[in-house]
Amino acid sequence: MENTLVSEGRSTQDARRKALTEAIIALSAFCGLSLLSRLVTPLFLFVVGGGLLFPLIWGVFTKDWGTMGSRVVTLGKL
Amino acid sequence: MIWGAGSGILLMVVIWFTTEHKLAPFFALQLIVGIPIWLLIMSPFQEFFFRGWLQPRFEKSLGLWPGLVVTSVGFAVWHLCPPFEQAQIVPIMSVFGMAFATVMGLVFGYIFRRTGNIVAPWLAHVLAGLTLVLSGAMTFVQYVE
Repeated sequence: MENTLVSEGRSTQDARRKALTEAIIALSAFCGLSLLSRLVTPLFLFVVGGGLLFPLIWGVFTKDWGTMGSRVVTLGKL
Repeated sequence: MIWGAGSGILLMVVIWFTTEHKLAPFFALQLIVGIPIWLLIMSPFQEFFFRGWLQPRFEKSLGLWPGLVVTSVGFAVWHLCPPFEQAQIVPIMSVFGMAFATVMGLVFGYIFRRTGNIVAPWLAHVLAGLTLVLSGAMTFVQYVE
């Protein structure tokens, strides 16, 4: 029983750490690419394309549309 | 949609009274170009990334309110990165500009969490962005001699 609780606690902590790492890496990449677009303006197209396509591709692979606010059920919510 | 449109209109009023008004050259053309750009490009790519993808991760790892705040600060910091100052006279690289962008991020993030859909902050962001075009604070078409 205790081992199960410890294991669950650890997996929650791991999931949180993974989410934070993903977020920091993605935000750094997004900012870095945007900064580079000051030097090479067409790179801003990659920032725009990345901002649009990256979450969509992520959603296609993970099917996690709900957390991204893109489930049909919630789209018409007032 | 009430949340998106309502907060968008509120932001329109705030932006209208806090930015310098100057009728941009080729005003009709600015609108013809600006509306689809804000509706289909500028607003969705930021909302999909910051609200749809980033915010749930920061909220999961840091907690709901800290996650919302960190995402909003990230949103404001990101606005310093691209060469936006070429397209607008709003002083984004100032304390006021950063604070304003952070507050905008908080509003969009809160709407996203409240409604659970990405269309609401998308709509609010479009309305806020269009106010910049209407007030002449952002131009998409520039006159080159």
